[in-house]
Amino acid sequence: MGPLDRELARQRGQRKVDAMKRRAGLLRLRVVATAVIGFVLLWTVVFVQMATGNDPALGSGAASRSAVEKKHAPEPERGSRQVTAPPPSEEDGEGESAPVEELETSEAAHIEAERAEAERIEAEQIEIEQREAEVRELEELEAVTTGQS
Amino acid sequence: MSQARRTFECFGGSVGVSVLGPASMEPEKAAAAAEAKLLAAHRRLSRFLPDSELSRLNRDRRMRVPADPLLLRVAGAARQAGEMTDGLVDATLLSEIEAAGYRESMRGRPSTVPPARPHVATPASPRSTRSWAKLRVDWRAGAIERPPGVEIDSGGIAKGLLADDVAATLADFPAYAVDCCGDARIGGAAGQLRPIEIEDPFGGEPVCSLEISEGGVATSGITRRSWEGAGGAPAHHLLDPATGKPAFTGIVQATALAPSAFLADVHAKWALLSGPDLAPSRLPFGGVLVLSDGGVETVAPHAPIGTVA
Repeated sequence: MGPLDRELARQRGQRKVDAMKRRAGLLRLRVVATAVIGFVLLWTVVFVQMATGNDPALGSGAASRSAVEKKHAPEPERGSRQVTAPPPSEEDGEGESAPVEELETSEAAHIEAERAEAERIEAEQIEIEQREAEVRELEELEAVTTGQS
Repeated sequence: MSQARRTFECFGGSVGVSVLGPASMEPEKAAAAAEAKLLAAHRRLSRFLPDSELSRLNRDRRMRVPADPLLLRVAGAARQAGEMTDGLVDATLLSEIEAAGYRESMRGRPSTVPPARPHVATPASPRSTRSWAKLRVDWRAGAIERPPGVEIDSGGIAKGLLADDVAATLADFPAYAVDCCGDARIGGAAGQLRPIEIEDPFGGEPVCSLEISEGGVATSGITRRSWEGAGGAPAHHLLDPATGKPAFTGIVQATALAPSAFLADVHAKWALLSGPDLAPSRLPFGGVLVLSDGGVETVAPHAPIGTVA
C-alpha cells in the first residue's frame, strides 16, 4: 500500500468518525426539539382549557356528583324549608384533582425520558472520543525492522 | 490504550515483542508471558545447548524417539519445509553446517559482511539423499521416527513456529508484533497496517518498507551469520543442500511475506537458495530481494497477504 492508499484509508477513517459525530448531533437535536414541542403543546392545551372556562376541576364531574347526591337525598317533608346542598368537602376536592395529577405524572415521565436520552447521547459521545483516541494510537503503530534471521 | 514492549536475547539474536491494548487487557503481562514462553522454548530447542530436547533427540540412536508436542511440531515443520520446496529448504543439514564452521552460537558477535563474494553465482539444488523425507511424526503416540544420524537443525523453522505460537496468544489485542530475530508475526484485532522496514544487508539505510496488518514476514540472508571458512573463503549458514557448502546464488538477502511467520521463513530461504531467476516465483505473497550487486528487487504479491510500498 502506497502513501496515497494510506492517505485514502486515513480519510476513510476520518469520514466514518465525522459521520458518527453528525449522527450524534442529529439525535441530540431531535430529542431536544421533540421535548420542546411536547412541552409547548402540553401547556397550550392546558391554557386553552382554562381560558375557555373548561377547568377540569370544575367540570362535569362536580355537576353529576351533585345530581347524584340530589337524587339520593331524602325527600323533604312537605311544608318544611328547602335545604341547599352543602359545599363540597375537602375529601370531595381531592377526588376531583386527579386529571391534574395525571398531567404532572406525564410531564415527569417525559422529563425523565429526556434525561435518559441526554445521558445516552453523552455516553455515545464519550465512546466516539475513545474510539478516536484508539484510532490515533493505532495510526502510530511503530515500525518493525526485519533483518536476517 | 497502553503499549508493552519487550526486547531480549533469545535464539542467538534479539527478539522483540510489542503488544498494544487497553490497560484492562494487561498488555504488559501478556508481553512478559510471551517472553517467558520464548525463552523456555529456546532452552528446549537450541542445538547449542547439550541438554536441550533437540540435542538429546539428535544424539539418540533409537529409530523412534518419544518427544513432546513442541519437538513434534518442529520435526513436522522440517518435513513440511522439505516437501514445500522439494528439498531445497532442508533442516537436516546439521552435520554439514557444523562442518562449515557454525558450531556455536553467534550471540553477541558483530555482524560481518563476507570479505569477498564468489565470482560465480549458482542456484542451490536439493540433496539426493532427501534426509528430510525420512522424518516421520507419530502425533498420536508422540514420537519422532528417523534413521539414527538424521539430525534436525531447528534454525529459522523454530523461530517462525514460535512467533506464530506467541501471536496466537495475543490475537485478541488490538495490535501486536512478535519478531524472533527476523521471523516476525504481525497482527491484531484492529486490523491496522503496521510498517515493516527491511534492513540493508550491507549496513546502510533500510532498503525497503512494507506494510501489513496480519501475517508473517521473514528475512534470510548470508551477511549476518557469516564467517571466514577454510582458507579464508567466505562462509555463512545457508547451505546448498546438494554440496553441503554455503550457497552463493546471486541473492544476499530475501524477505518474504506469508500468512504465518513459519511459512515466511521457508519462502525467504527458498527464494534465496533458488537464485534471482526463480526467486520471484518463490514469493507468492510478495517480498523483497537484495542481489549480490546491491540491487533491490521488490516482488508483488500474487495473493493478498501484504503489499510492497
